[in-house]
Amino acid sequence: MSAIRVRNLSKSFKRPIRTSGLRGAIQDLLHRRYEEKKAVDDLSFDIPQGEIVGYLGPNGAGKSTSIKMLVGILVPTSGDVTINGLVPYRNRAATARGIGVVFGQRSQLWWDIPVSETFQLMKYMYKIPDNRYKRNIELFADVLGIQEFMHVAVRQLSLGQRMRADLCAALLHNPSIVFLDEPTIGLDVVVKKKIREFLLEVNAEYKTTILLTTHDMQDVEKLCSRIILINNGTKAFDGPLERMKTEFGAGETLSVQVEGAVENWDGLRLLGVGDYRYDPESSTLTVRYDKRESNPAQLLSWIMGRASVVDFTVKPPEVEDIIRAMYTNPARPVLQEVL
Amino acid sequence: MHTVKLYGRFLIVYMRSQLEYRFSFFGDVFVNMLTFVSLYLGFWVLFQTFPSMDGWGFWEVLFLNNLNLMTYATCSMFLWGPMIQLENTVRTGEFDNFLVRPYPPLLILVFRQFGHTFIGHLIVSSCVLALCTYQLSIQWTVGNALFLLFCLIGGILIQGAIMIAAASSAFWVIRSKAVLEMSIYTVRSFINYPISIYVQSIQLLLTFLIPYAIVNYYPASLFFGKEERSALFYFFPVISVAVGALLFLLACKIFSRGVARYDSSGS
Repeated sequence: MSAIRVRNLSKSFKRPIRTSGLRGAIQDLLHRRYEEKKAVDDLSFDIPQGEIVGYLGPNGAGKSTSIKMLVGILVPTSGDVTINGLVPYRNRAATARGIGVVFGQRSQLWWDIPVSETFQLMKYMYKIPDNRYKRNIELFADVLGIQEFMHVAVRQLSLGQRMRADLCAALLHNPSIVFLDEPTIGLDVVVKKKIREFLLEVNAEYKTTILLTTHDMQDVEKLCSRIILINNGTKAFDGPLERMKTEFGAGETLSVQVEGAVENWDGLRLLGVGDYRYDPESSTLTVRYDKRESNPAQLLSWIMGRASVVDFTVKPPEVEDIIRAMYTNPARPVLQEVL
Repeated sequence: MHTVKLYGRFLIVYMRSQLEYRFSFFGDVFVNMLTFVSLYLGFWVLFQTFPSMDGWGFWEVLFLNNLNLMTYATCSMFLWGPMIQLENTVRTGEFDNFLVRPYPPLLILVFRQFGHTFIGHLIVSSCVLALCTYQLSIQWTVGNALFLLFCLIGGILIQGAIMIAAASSAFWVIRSKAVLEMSIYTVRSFINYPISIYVQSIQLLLTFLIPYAIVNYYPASLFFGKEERSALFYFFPVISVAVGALLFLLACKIFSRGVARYDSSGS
């Protein structure tokens, strides 16, 4: 049995169409027209127990809406979801016992009380046996470094501390599936690293299934063996990370700040560069290239031969870049079904 | 049983967080006591001019009022806070948190807070009940005591049901707080007086549509024998509890219907 099974899942929202101006407002008041917006459209996939899946897509693609259906917050317009064999919105309580949920933007900790008391409440709410609770707290507090702020009220925590506490609280009852919506948003490198180590450890120790959304390519590379890419509410890609990268994600960006007026960079084309831009104002040259066709060192040395370089950076592809590449390059296959 | 124990845990945590600001805690209770003492003093002033209101004396009207206050305060300790905030909780999408817990969302909402300020209401209403007992020389026979007890339980359920149902409008309209406030302040203020003083349409409204009259008017008039103490006296407490339980279940149903419509918020 799959841990998560999704079949032809759709969700549409009804939104009133607003006409502008006073006349429009009165018109709308008397006769309101609605438009139906499909946030999720005929989505299907299976996730077996123990897999870590990156659930990616641009903002507004329907990631959060579909996750909210998976955990039982939203009721689907049509289609089926089963989580550990249960229909989440029909068996909220039973589903909740087997899952952990963390939404990066929204804490579920209790504002006024210390972290430790929230953990205690979780213990009673999920009926966690004493010995398991103790072992989990020890393991989690150690990996996440929670001990130092265990007795501080939640409102006094920094964002990184709060996020770590949130993660710990969501995993105390050993859920077999964990849903993470942008767990590393707004965190510094050190905390991000801690959180990734933690997730890997939990996955190894308890065979926990993890579904996470993120905009951070590092998260994806360090954690996910499989990627599901969502766009316009439908699945755009489903497969291993490596395949996504070779198919769509080999683009890098090189930014070079140069001195001296050079206007003609056309020679870059000969080195296999598809897209470049020179901004005379900041005298910065931005070069986008495909790693399989161009070598950044070669590009840089060519540029250095023509102008004196003040500074340069190489930026690996962001998830957004990969998605953009998929949709702006029609030569490549867009839809890949593996089911 | 586990649920009761869990509520106990939540209550301890809540109290501990509130008692951090001890002055504010007791201040809240005290201010609420003053509010109701002054309200009742207002009645007293009123009754200096009109000694009787449709056959009801000052202490009888006070007793009538007190039934309202007692039941309102008891159910408000659990429901007022979460229900008044429901509009906000739903609008901001914070309600998400309550849907991923191993208990019904309504229960978790109630668990998360406790209306300690209503302890003030309860202190005042207990004192007033004692005063009424003395002034009206009420005999607390087994029959009288059971009558009052059941009517209080029925009243608590009715008050709670109206609160939940009105607050559930949050899932349909944006300004649900206004709906709730109208129900529990404006409409409820009608039963500060015996409803026999109103036109018939309002009496019917308060009996059948928003049955606040079952909370205090009917039990009080039966208790004081405004009508002949008949079999109805023994039968009414059962009706009160039954109506209360039915309405409460209905309100929970409305709430669940609302939850199914819940749209969450962006992000």
